[in-house]
Amino acid sequence: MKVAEEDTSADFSIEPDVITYYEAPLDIKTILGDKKVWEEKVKKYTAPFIESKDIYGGQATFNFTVERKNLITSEGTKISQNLIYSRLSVSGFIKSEDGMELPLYKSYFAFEPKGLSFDEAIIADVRTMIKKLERLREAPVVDPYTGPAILSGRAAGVFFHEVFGHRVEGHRQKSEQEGQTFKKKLGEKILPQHMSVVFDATKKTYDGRDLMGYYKYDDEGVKGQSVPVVKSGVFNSFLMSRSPIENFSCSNGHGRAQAGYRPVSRQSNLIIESNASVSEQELRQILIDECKKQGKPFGLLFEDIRGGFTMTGRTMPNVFNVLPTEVYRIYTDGRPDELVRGVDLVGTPLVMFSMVSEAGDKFDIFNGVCGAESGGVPVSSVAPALLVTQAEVQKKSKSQERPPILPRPDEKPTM
Amino acid sequence: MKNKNIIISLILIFSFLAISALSLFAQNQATRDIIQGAMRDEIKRNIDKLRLENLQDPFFISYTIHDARTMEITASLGSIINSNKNHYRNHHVRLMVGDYNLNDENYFDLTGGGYRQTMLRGADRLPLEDNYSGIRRALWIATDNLYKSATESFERKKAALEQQTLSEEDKALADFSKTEVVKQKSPPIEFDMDQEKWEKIARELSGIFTDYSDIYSSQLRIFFYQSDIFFTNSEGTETNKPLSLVAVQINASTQAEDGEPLKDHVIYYGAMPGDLPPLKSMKDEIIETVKSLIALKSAPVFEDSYTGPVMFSNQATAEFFAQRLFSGSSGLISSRKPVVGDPRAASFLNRGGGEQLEDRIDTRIISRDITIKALPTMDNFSGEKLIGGYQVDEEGVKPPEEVVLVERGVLKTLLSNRILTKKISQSNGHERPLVGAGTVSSSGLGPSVINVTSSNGMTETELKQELIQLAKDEGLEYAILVKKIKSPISGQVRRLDPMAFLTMSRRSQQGPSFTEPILVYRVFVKDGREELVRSVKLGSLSISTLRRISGASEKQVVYNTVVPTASGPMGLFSFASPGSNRGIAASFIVPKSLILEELEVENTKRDYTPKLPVVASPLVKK
Repeated sequence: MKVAEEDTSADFSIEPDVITYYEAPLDIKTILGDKKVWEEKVKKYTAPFIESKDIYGGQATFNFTVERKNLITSEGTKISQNLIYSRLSVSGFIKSEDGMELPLYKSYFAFEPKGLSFDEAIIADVRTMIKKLERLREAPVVDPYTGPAILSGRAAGVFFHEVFGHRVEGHRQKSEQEGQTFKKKLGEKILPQHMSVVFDATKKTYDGRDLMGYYKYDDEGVKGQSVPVVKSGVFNSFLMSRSPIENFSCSNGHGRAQAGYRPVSRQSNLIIESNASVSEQELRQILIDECKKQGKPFGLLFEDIRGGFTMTGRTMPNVFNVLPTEVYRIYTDGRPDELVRGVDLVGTPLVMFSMVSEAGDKFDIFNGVCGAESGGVPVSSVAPALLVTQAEVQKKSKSQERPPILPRPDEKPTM
Repeated sequence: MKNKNIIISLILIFSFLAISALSLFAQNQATRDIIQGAMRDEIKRNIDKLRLENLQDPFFISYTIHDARTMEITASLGSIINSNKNHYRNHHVRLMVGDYNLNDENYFDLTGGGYRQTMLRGADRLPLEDNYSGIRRALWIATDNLYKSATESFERKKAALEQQTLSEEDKALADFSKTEVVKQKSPPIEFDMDQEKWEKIARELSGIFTDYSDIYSSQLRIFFYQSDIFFTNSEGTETNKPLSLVAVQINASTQAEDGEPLKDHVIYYGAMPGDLPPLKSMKDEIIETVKSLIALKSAPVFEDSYTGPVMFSNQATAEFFAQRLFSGSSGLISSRKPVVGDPRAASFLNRGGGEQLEDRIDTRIISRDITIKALPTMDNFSGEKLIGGYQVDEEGVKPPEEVVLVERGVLKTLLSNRILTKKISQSNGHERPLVGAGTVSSSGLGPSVINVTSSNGMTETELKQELIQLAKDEGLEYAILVKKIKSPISGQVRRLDPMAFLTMSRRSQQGPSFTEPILVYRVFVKDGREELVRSVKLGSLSISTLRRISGASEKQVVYNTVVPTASGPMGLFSFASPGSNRGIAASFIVPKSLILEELEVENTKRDYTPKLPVVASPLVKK
């Protein structure tokens, strides 16, 4: 026997519209073109890695997916839509003498493969990555630290996705096992007044770049929408599937799932906006000022990350973990920024959220696949660099394996 | 004039074929040289130079590379569900530190061997292009990794040995046997993986089921595998041989009126597409299977508790030998008892189950009439293709033409590889490649071509009379005849049948058991009539039941199958992944039928019976 749950909303929503929508199947071969061309490209992208003796892994993957989703319901909904994704990712890793494995990642997204045709820029990125890897190998290890930090646009996007996005997914407010961080925060100020957060499934591009979290209809047949979740710092709405919760009886087009899974409310394109953004230079200065105020010799800059994860339940601590790959120390005494290694950004959501103070004016995009109970769904985040007055880093889990004993074999065949 | 033209064009075609075959051969040869060269050079470099101060040096390294092409097509009800072709090259590295007498293998504990956090282990696949340096780089990282873990477990093993009391015999037992150096190259095999053609066949065969709404679920899978296998070790052995397997597998399931899940399968194996039966025969057999499955739906439930003679025939006879004597690491397969790290590891090991026969060498284990031999190099039996034959095994050991395992009921030896056991002092070349769901990866100890003969063979008519006579003598109304047993490789664990998971978990507690029978008949003493029954459970088919075989056919049948194999120490993980379809391609040549003098047969007690589908199949014709 259980006591009554707090939320006694209905189990399934009645939606006003019954949708009939049909897209013709795509001609996949024409869109993809010659597969060989891409085989040659990924070979070309990875070739530079071989020039560096200390790099133990260098990989490029081109992934082209066309998914045709058909949905038919007993209510009369009939939807056939095409989802098309082309992703290119490049990664390399190096090992430091203490065994720490240091990977760097770079990924590119466009709906159609032709949106990824910029070979020279990619090869230039690979070369930059190689240089960074070699510097990372020699970089000092950071000790656990708390203090001011700047999250780059990409890092801020992932941070918001984990810390905020997963906690405003509507169905989580229903379960008594869930942390329900924001359940009672409707109408309350949770961010600085200059900031707003929108989940916009209707946005196909940002600044000319394709956004992976775009879709016409969600997986319950509800039209994709733009949902202002935080307006001028005030919490305004949850992301809704057709599973109603208190105060939200209808879906707002965020019932999503990977084929074969049951849809729940999931994120789309997360967009962070600020009407009081500051320039990159100003942001640095504010960081330095804040460090001085707190008596810290340096602040941290999280330039790039590989992803993150979070726990939203009640039993386990309600924490998040963002996995940075590129972190710098910004010194207050005017020394140049210093590349460091070995830390993850950790924290608890409400504390960290209350520490967000400023936003930069340069936006960056992170496209990726988000995994949760309804499988992997394509999402993106568009975010400016953010300044947090207090961030916490902990030591990364680390391999104890020493680097290979013998040098890499580069001989030519003896035959 | 006209005729002459035809002759000329024929000559042209022939010469064209000859040229393309030649260039293909030349190309293969170049590829083979590069792969083998990279393996040889990297082994040499590692055996010469790979060292860590104060730790043991590697004394043995071997590399195996599979250059493989696969095609997999699945279909249901006349439609293709999945169809793909794949080309990959993967490698397997074995490295030992210490020496032949004492090395890091044959050791088990619960601390090591687990997940080691490193990205370095990633690249198990090699470049598809003939990139000499790329192949060496992949082998380099893999060897480095393995060396580090081997030195760790060697140190732990030595520490464990110091804490234990071992018999002199155990102490004297070497870890790894010496064997002669083998250099052998066989020409590659190539056959056309005509995807379009086989998709058409898949549609046609799976489409048969659209006529049978009584079958709730059916699926067909075609799997073609063709590879060139390279093996090189630091002792100087170098082998290069082709391996191919083609399989067509059809699974069908339904439920009886009382909800009992029923299933059946048809499986064909061959080394080449031409080994498969003609389309017409496959169709006929599928239809026959469908019909018997439908008959099973309305067959009476076996409610009795029976103890008496049981006859196995055809597929059931072959499965009986395959499962009882040649699966996992029990029966006629040797198994080295590893050194354990601590008592907990030992208790973990003991859960592996299975009957070990080594201690019974030179004693009678089976009925006196029966002789069992392995004939590993045999590739056909009176014209029927055998998939279990080969010239050299996965450790580069050439098997003898004949290994007598059981002679007139007396156990002589067991199938073995280079890991020694107390009574097995050398390999008889039975380290076999593991064929997986879509790949072939690493290897395991298991059967090749197994020949079972009876010195006192009877005709089928005589056997049936014998069966009836035995039942009569027992005062029974009927005897039991088993014609088909579920093939463990059918991998048919589906949602419809949660029981499968229950039996799976039970099996892992009790050790390997027998798969459930599919076609079981009551043979009435009165008139010899056969009646199909369902819900039948066969009693314990332990090896001792084999001591009382009352008769076997003189006629032998060939059964090609893939035998699930053990992995991990003593087959500990053999049942870890139900339906994983991993196993060893083997051939069984067995008497068509045999009678066990006494076996218990009873009703299957199901813990869970699913309901019938609420709405009838849409295949039902209006």
